[in-house]
Amino acid sequence: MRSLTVQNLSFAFGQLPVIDDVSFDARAGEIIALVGPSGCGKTTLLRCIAGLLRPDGGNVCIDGKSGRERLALCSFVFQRPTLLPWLTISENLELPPKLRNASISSQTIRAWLADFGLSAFEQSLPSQLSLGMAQRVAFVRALAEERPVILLDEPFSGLDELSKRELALLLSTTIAGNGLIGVVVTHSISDAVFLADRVVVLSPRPTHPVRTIGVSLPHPRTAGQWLGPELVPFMREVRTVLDEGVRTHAR
Amino acid sequence: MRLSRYLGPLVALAVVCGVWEAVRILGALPPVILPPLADVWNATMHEPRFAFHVLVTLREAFVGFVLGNALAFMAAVAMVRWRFLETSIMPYAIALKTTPVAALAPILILWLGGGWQANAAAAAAVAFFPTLVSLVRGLRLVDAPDHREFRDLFASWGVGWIKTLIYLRLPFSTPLLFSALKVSSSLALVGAMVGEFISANAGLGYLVVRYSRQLDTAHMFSAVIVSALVGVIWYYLVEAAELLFSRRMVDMGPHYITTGQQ
Repeated sequence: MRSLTVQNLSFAFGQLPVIDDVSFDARAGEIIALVGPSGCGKTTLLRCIAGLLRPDGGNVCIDGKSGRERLALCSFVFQRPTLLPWLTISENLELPPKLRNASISSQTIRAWLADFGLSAFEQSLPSQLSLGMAQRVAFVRALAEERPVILLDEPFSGLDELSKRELALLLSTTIAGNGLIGVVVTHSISDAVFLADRVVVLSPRPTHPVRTIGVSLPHPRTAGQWLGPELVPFMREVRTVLDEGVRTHAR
Repeated sequence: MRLSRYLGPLVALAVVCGVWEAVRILGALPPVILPPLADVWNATMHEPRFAFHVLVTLREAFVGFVLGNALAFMAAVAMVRWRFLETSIMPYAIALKTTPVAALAPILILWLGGGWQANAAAAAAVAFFPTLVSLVRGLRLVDAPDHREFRDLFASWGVGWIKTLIYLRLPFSTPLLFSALKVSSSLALVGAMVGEFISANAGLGYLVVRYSRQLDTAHMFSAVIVSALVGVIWYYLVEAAELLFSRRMVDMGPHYITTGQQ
């Protein structure tokens, strides 16, 4: 059974404490959203989970594996698409396995691109794609790695509402449908509530969880739910807890 | 567009030739200072073994260019891999850069003898620096905050340093590398000719010195013009290679490299 456990994680940039005793866990098919005030350390937390930063304390465990072993079990989607501009879309998707001396078949690539509505762009360069399309390719690249955990750092930043909704729906379907675990960092309460099964609300820096709010709506989410009335109570609750965290921190 | 690209330089050349001939015909400068263009043309056409002298200089400059750039490439990669090497080597590279090649050439001739090898070494010494500096900067582009996500992406894939160098750092550095190679190609020619000024019995630099001693200005100009032509051709050859190797980079323009987005 797939699982992600973050246990008592702490991290400091030199003398500056950034993450203070963060714990949460997730099961297969679940999406966790990390929401907090700007600069609280959400991205740093995600990088610690990914193994891009070494935490000062605590532990991250994926499918029972911790340390460097877990690195091969998660893939990362950055705020920007980070497609290599000199490679075509299909070459960009072939690169991660190639760097591991493995390969991915062109049928698999075509199938992924078709699922994400990118069939016509297999041989295009990233510069020929819109930002929303490029970010979809970045998702495909992460998903094609077939790792159990997918970590997403502000994946919708800079996207218009329609592209955002389209991507959020694709993510909800793919992560829940394939039994993966998604961890999304976002500053948008509506994005977090639409996507996640649970929203972990973080305090200002040094960040720690103020409260975890469950979003009791089944996956996959539907286009009609985007900014819809059924999400509003959850959004209000997240906002209240965020305010509470900021107030407590100020005292 | 294409026509103006070729027409512009031709018009500029015609204007320079016109002014040259006008100044000469008006008698403002004596022929020993400004020879008739026809004499320069005749000197170029009738110089015995001109092609041989061009090839001698080209050999020195090309060997120097390859050697200087190969060393610069290795030094840049080592400096990017081990930062302490940059602080250790860079001051000496700057010292080498600020030392005039005319001062360096006699030492190289003393060490390597008066043959073409010393002139190639002088060419290598001047070709080294621009590539080193640009390549160090180019290879470090992905460490800058604007592009750090690319480096983190490779780290998230668990890719080692050498593969990151080959698949990420080097392609990112190609625009800067080719700019440096263009500068370096011209400098290699200068280095080789300066070496020939001091000690040589063949080459374009040797011709300039020989004819200056004879006050044969037409022949001097012909050697200078041919060396300039060789430099221009070499420059455009590097540019052609750049287009060939980094067509996709050129297509997307420098903006993409800076922001990572369209």
